[in-house]
Amino acid sequence: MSARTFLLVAALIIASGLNPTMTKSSDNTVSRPVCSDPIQTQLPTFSSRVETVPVDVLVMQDGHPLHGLRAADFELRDNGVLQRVDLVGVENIPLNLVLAFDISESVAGTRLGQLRSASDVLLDELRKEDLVGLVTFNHNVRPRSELTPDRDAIRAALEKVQAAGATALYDGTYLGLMTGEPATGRRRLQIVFSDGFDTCSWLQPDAVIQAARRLGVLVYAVSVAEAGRSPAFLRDVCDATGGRLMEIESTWNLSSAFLDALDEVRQRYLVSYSPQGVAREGWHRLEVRVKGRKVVVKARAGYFAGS
Amino acid sequence: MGIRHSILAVALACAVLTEVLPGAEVPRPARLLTLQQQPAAAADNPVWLQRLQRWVELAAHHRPHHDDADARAMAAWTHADLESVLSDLLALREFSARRGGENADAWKSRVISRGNDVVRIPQLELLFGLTDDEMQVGDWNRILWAGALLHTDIALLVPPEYRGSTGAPASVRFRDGQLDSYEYPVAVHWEMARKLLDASLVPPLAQGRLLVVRPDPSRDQAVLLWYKATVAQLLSSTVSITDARTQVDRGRQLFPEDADLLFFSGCVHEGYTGPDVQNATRSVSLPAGQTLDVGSPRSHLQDAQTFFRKALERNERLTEARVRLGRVLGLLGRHQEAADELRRAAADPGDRRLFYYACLMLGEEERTLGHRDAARDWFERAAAAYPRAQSPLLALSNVALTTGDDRAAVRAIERLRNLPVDDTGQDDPWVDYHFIAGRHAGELFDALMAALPAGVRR
Repeated sequence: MSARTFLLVAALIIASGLNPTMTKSSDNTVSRPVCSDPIQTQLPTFSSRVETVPVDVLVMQDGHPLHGLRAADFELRDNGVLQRVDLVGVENIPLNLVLAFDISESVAGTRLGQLRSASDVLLDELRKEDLVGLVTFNHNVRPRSELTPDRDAIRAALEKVQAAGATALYDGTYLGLMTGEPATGRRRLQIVFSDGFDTCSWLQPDAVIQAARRLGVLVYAVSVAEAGRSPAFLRDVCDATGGRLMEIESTWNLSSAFLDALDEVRQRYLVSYSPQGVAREGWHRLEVRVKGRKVVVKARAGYFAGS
Repeated sequence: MGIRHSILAVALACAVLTEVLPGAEVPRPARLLTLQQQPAAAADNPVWLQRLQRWVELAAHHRPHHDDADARAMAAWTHADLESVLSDLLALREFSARRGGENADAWKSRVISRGNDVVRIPQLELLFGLTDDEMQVGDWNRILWAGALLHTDIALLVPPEYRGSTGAPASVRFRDGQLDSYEYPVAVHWEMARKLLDASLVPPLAQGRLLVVRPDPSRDQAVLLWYKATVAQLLSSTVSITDARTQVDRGRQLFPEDADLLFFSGCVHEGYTGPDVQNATRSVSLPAGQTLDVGSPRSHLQDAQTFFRKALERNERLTEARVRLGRVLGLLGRHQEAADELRRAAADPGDRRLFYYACLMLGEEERTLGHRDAARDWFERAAAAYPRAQSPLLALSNVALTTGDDRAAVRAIERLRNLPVDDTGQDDPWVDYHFIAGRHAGELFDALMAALPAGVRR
């Protein structure tokens, strides 16, 4: 985890009033604790002796996820420079999951009910150690719940939702990306649900995709495309983060799509590396391969560091 | 000759015979209708006349600017019937306009024939409820305006399920960025309204014995108001952007120097580049042979730029034109010019909404130009103008994130978190940007109603 990312953690903790925690990264870099009083205290500064960059990787062989790989099986290049890879974990990695749901006019009625039901099923499938947050977007983008272990809080928040208005898909996705803090040993995942195209966002799609790359969030999207195609943005943001766009024709079995996404995420590898031999600032193009196997590897294309 | 051709023929005749002096011999321009001196055996109520009579009844009874039973009844008419009515109506009006100084008794002894059907002049006066004076000068404005408003209201207000088949390409309705339905288009009603107003006369109609019959809508302020009001209304819904374009193009032909119509023209072209239209072109899978004719975004942006500039040349106080010009220039990649225009727009604090747009867009242009401090400043000004708007906060967060200032990025999002959660409310003017160019449509319609000929306004 980079120093810059630590700052993001700190700011989020202070703003949300959570108790400070000592965070220990995989390379034993320790951050200073954050004071518990957000009002009295200035934002602390953090130091990080070694940056680590998490990379979420899906390895498919013959159409199925390939299990049992070790760190030594991966070959990772940062801007063409071979890096030493550490394996953080596979399916037992706890999730920081943000649900970013479209609640525009077209979701009103039956579809909203199906969205709530599918969310119920998804929440039931999460593990005790997983955290989940909720963001909704129509023409308004609103955080409904910070990351919490409390599933009922999410359910209650969803019950209060009224579907109406236009679709700020880009803005809503951005808010989802900015929800929750990075934490070593946890996987940052966002599931975006939408049945329409953006009609009123201020942010441009490229800006949101850049943010997704910078923040290292894995994005899966479920798009209802009844009479046409899905927004290119959803495919692009998923591709950029190594996630996947799942297109469905109707929401009658939306829970299956959510569970498929969750299942696929659980079978991904989370590897990390400390960049060596490359400039820290700027775009880091990532190439991930598995040595000696004919497999399909899916990971984020790269990330930005610095300004 | 089919119905469609007869309309073309009549329209041509009207265009040629725009001025008739007293005593001039009455020519015979129309193919289907002829004016005769001697009465023939008159059929009491031929079908074409019944149709015309029904149209007149509905037009006269309709309450302008309302979706009422008359408008819905008329909406169900077929394209062919509408064209036939228009053809007959304009031809009859043309005959009445060419009475000149003919003696009243002689005039009333005339009949109008169509095939074996004949109509006596008094019957015609009765049908249209015209006074002798109106008949004498060919002033059918009351009828023409009543009809134009009826068809306007069908196009604007009557729900699609009441519309009859027109044989024209279907209109495609999009909802929330996705294809929602096909429906019968309303273009024929717009065309009816325009042609009816094209035939209206401009008062004063007569001076002394010199009878001037000169349909010239370009001199009629009510017609100008009609174009402004209808285009404004159409701009509030991108479903109607095709109709808006036709309407504003025709309005501009009649009133080429009008700054408002030039501004609306720019808005229509800008609207083609907006999310609804562009999403439609990207998303929809139409049946084979069907296409959405929307043109390239860049060409629309160029056209929009041209019209906004022309509008500003004629009225430099049109701040909204300057705001939109700035945005369009930015989209064309001309960021410094965009920033200059937006800075000028932001210097006018008269309209909070326009000031907000100018600040927000100027912030984006400054960010693009690499002036991040200036960008933050303008975004903050936008946020101050509308403290509950989300867009400036998202912009502030994003500009901070791209500069590596993650703490500032999070702080801006924290401000957004503190906004009230309201799914149906609307606190950010940016959300309405693509629809607000027509926000004064109501006032324009009120002005139009006040400017209508006596007997039409209610």
